[in-house]
Order: sequence, then structure tokens, then C-alpha cells
Amino acid sequence: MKFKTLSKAPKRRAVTVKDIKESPQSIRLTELGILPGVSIMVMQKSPLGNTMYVKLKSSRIALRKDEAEQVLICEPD
Amino acid sequence: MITTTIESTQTQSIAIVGNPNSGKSSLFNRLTGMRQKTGNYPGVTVDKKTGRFNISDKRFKVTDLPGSYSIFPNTMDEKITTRIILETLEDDDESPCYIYVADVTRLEKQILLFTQLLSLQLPVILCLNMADRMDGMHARRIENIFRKKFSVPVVALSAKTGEGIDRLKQILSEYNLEDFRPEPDPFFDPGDQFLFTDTRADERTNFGGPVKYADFVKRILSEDGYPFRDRMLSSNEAIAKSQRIQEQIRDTMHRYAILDPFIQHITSETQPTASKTDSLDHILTHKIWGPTIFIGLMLLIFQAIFAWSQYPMEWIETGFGQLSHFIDRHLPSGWITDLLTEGILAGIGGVVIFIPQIAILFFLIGILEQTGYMTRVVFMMDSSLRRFGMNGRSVVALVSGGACAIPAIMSTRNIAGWKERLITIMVTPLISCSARIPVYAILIAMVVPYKTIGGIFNLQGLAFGLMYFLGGFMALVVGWVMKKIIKTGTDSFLMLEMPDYTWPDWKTILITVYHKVKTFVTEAGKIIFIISIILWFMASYGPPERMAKANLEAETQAMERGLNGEETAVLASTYRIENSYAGIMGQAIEPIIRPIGFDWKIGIALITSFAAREVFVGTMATIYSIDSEDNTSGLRERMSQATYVDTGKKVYTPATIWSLLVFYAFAMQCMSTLAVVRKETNSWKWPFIQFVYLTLLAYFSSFIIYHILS
Repeated sequence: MKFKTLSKAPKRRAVTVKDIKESPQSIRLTELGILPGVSIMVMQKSPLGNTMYVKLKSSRIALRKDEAEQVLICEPD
Repeated sequence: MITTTIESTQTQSIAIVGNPNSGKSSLFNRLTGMRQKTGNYPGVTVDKKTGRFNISDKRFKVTDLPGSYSIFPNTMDEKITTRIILETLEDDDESPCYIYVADVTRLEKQILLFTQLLSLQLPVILCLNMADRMDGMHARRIENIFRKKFSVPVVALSAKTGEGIDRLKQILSEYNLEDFRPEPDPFFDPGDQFLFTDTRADERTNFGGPVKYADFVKRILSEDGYPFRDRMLSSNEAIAKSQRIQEQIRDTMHRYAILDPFIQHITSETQPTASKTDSLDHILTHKIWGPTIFIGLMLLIFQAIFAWSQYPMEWIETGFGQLSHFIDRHLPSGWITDLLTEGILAGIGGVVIFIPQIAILFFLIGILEQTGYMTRVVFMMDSSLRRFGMNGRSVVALVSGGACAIPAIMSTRNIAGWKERLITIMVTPLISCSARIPVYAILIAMVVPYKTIGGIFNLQGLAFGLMYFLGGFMALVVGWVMKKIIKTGTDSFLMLEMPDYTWPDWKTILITVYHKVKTFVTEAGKIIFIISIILWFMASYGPPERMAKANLEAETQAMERGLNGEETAVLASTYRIENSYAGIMGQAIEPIIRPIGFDWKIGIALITSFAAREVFVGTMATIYSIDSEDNTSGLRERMSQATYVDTGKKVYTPATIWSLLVFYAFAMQCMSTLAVVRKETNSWKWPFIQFVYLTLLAYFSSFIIYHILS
């Protein structure tokens, strides 16, 4: 098991949210359903790479890089 | 507690709450039809939509609260929703009944705010929208599960097709707030360790007994209405802040922990058409194809506002022209007729002329928003425009600003961050709009030869392109500068939910277009109308003795030169405008504009073109005694022959013409734009700042250009 932030997650591979860092952004992240234990997948990165588009079970969310950095993930290796 | 008594004659108020994209607005339109109005919430420019409807003899007043994910706000829209919910909680007389709209295909997230309303012990009717995606039996089954779980009235409905609306109305007509008793709340767990560790708690929780969720919420919100966004914190405050973040996260996670198994259980059968959206997004948000398709769409929008609006705009122009002709012929000539035709009618015409562009733009934006494409635009453009203090949605304003700044600035309403929205509003007038085209055309023809180079590029065409580039470039520069200057205490967020692609709800789009046009005409239109009458007065009237002398002089001149009646009239109008109040002002500002190469005649045109930039050409035609404003080659010739009386030098040197071009590219010469900015920012402060900065920018840029070239 490797730990890193969601901003570094590979594209189109399901990873599991491990934890959310404590920050003003983290509240909205949890409200949008990005919670520990949830499965998440990076679908697309914006042309300049500063924004990403992730998919949860039934919803899609656009995140900025600094927002994705608040999410710790673990990916099965 | 709720103590409102409702007699049959009284109006019951309803508030519609739900996530953005839950179909709230469609439901609102279904219930109210055209009996609705759009206003502002006090102090902010968030649309306040209210409407009325009756069910048999029971009357309802309904407010569509801005879309919100949670009671803890992140955007201005959400702050309003939270504020209103908390206010009505304290005010017993005003308590509404809440209709909570949730998209049944995305229940996991859409139900969080609903549980918060339950914890606040509010009377809620739950509407499960998009029932058209399920069969009837399944819908009823889900309804029952929810009803049992939460003990609230539940309706599965489709705001789009209208199915289930009658059942909602049935529930509303039977609903009696008096009978409402809050159920025990499984969601809020006051916890222990953090809740009462700071002093703020004491003053707010003197109720005794168990902690109420309302107190918990209020304690987490800071003075500005957001949860702890303040950046400057002492160490004590930092600890308190960190505790509150933890409390809030704990609360949210607790809610999800309860909801999750329950929702798992029912959603397995209501999966949305996810794969379709995924494959569309594979192309529409692709690194290369995404932006390419988007630019294509933007060009289409630009073309639409620019070209499609031509016909209706021409009809409006000829219509008003003929009407004023008609009045002219049938009323005795005099100042009342003049006021009616050239003042009032022209003023109304100047407002109505914008309607086609506004309607077309908002129709197209409506489609982009409703299909879900707009959120993809924000996703793709966010990082590039953020460098310039703007937001992905700003692109729409910047592109449509190329046709006209009025609808473009009105379109900034759905930019969530105030700072990003403000910067977009401030820079949009720098994009060269269609009213500048006639001005550019006449000036470029005077200074750039009509020559083709390299087989394809026409020099004049290149000069046009340069003017457009100049405006766009300056808009980004100013955006970048303003991003550094304007300070806000709040962080900017993206964290945007991207809905499934769907077909637009045409009725909702048409209602939006109607309301956009209506608010423009009634609010900005008033200011435009008044200023255009003032401008008409200034250009037609002057000090009486000066005007009499001017008329006399024109007649003597005409006699000496043996002019016919028509030529005399043209000459007389030249003398009149030179001696009108506008003429006098033009002469008064000559010392100021001489350093950038303009004479007082240009000064007059600068003043009159405040009505609309293209008026420049008409004013110049009057000043240089050209019989018709369409005779541009005649006007160009007269202008290029013009000399200064004192020095005998030519007025329109290349330096002056380029200086004038740059001035028209940058200067804020459009009262209609200022009127719309006043309306959209809800203050005179921002249009004033915009006017000053653009005028200074134009002046100094022209100054530099003039001195480099002369």
C-alpha cells in the first residue's frame, strides 16, 4: 500500500480515500462526499494540469490542485 | 417552535431548498409559471426569485433559495440560503414550510442538507426529482422508504415532465404547519470534548438542556457568515478554529455514516445514465478536443449575438425611426415635438435596441447551463483564467463582450466568487464591442492604405485585428493587476460538482430570458433613458443668445455662398452643434485633450458618443457638414482636410488617428454599460471606479502613442 495525495493519483485508476487533511477546504470536500473509505478515480486533468476531474460512485467533481492535495489516498499496488 | 396559525385566507410561505442542479428552479417554474419576479437580496447581487400560486382557495408565496450543498456556506449564494434559514428559525411569524428537492439519481450527496434541515427541526416536504427516470412502482417504493425513515411527507416527481406535481400540490393543500412536531433527530450528535471549550459558546447556548443543532451551526459560523475563513488568527484563535473544523467534519461524517447504508440500499436500482456522460466527457473535457470544441462554441455564440441580432436590431431602428418621422409630420414643430422624437423616443429606442442581443445570449447560456456543459467549461478554463483574477465562467462574458458589453456583464451573475465576478465586470468593456466597429472603420480607412500583402492579408483587416487584440490583451493585464490589488478575506474554491448531461428544460430557459430582459429594461433602462435625454438636450440646445447668433451666421454664410435649402440646413446644424452645451464643453476640454492630439471638434464627439460609441460618426458628420452619416467617404475627406485655425497644421495626422483609435479601444464611453454595472454591483462605487480607470488608461495610452508617432 502506498500513500499519497489525490493530486498525484494516476488517471483512470480507482483509489481509496484514506484521510482528509484538516483545512478550510476539507469541510466542503466531505460535504461533497469525499470521505475516508470512499472509492475515487481521476478522470481527466485540465489542459494546464492545475485542475482535475474526479469521479465518485455516482458523481463527478472538479477540483483544483490545492484542493486535491487535502485528500490522502492509498492505491492498491 | 412553530406557532403560526394559518387561516384559509392567509398566505402560506414556502421556501424551496436543494443542491445546485437538483432541479429546484424547474420545480419553482412548474409551481409558479409566470407569476414570479426576480429581485436582489438586500446588499448583494444574488437573484432573489419569488412567486405565487394558488391551490383551490389556499394561497402560497414561494421563494426559490439559492442552491446549496450544506448549511455551512462556501459561496455567496449559500450564505444567503443559510442566513434566511437561520433567520426564519428565530422569527416565529415568518416560518415557511420547506420543500427540499433532491435528484433521485444522485441521492448520496443531495440528502446532506436535508438532514441538516431535519436537525434544525424545520418542517420539510421531501421531493425526489427526476422520477421520470424510474417506473412508477419503483418511485412509490422509494417514497415509502423515505417516509418511514424520516417521518416527513415525500413525493417522487419530475420537475421536467410535470409528473407528480399534482401530488405535491395535494400535500401542500393539506399541509398544516400547526400540526408540525419535530421528530427525534438521529443525525446530530452533540459530542462532548470540543463543544463548549471557548467563550463564544456561553452567550449563545443559555437555553439549558441538550445542545440544539441551531446553536451548533451558529457557533461554527464566524462574523462574516462563513465558517472560519479568516486568515489572520492568533494562536488561541487558531486552536479554536481547528476545533471547529474538526467538529464540523465530525458532524458531516456522522451524517454520512448514518445515511450511507440506507442510501446504498435504495440507489442500486436508480443508477443514472452514467456511461453516456462518461463517454461524452471523454471528448468534451479532453486535453485537446475539449478546448477546441469550446472555442468553436464560443465563436458560435459570438456569431449569434453579432449576426443574428442584426435583423431584429434593424427592425427596432427603422420602427423607431418611422415612428419619430410620423410624429414629426403630424405634430407642429417645436421643442415639445423635438423632445418627443429626438429625446424620449430615441431614449426608449436606445434601451430596446439591446433586447435582441440580451435575449440571444441568455438563451444560449441557458442551454450551456442546463445541459451541464457549463461546469465543464469552468473545469477547463479555471486554471488559465485564475491567473488573471477570473473564473472559468468569465470566458462567456469576455467572448460575448466582443458583441456587446451589456449582455456580457449581465451574464457574470453565475460566477460564484465575488472578486472573480467583479474583475470580470471591470475588464469586459475593454473587449472591442460591435459599437466600436464604425469608429474603427472610418479611422482605419484614413490612416491605413487598402493594400493586400502576402496575397491574403489586407492591411486594413490586419489593423482591425490589432484593435481587437489590443482590447483582449489589456483585459488580461488589468485582470492580473486587479487580482493583486483587490483583497478579500475569503479563499477561492473550485470544488464543483459536474452533473450528468441532460436535455435542457426549454421552459426554464425561456422564463430566464424573459426575466433578464425585463430587469434590464426596468432597471438599467431607466438610467440609460435619462442620460440619453440629457445628452440629447446638451447636443441640441445652447445658451439662447449664442444659438441665435449661430443660426444667423449660418444663414448669412449660406446666402453668401448661394446654398440651397438643404445645404443651408446642414450648415445650420454644424453651427448649432458647435454652439450647443456639448459644443461648449468640447471646447472647454480642448486644453486637456490637445496633448493626445485631439481638437475641440473631436472633444464634442467624445462627449456625444457617451450615448453609444457609434454616435461618434454621426456627430463628426454633423460637425463637418456632411449631409448624411452614411456618406463616410465624404466625411473622411472633410476630416483629412481639416486644419487647426491657429497653426494651420492638419488635425488628422497619423499620430492623432492612432491616438483616437487607442482611445476608443480603452475608454469607458458607454453610459449603458455603466448603468448595467451599477445594477450588477448594486452600487455607484464600481461604475465610478471603472469609468475613472478606463478613462485614465485610455488617456495615457493615447498620450504615449501620440508622442511616439508625432
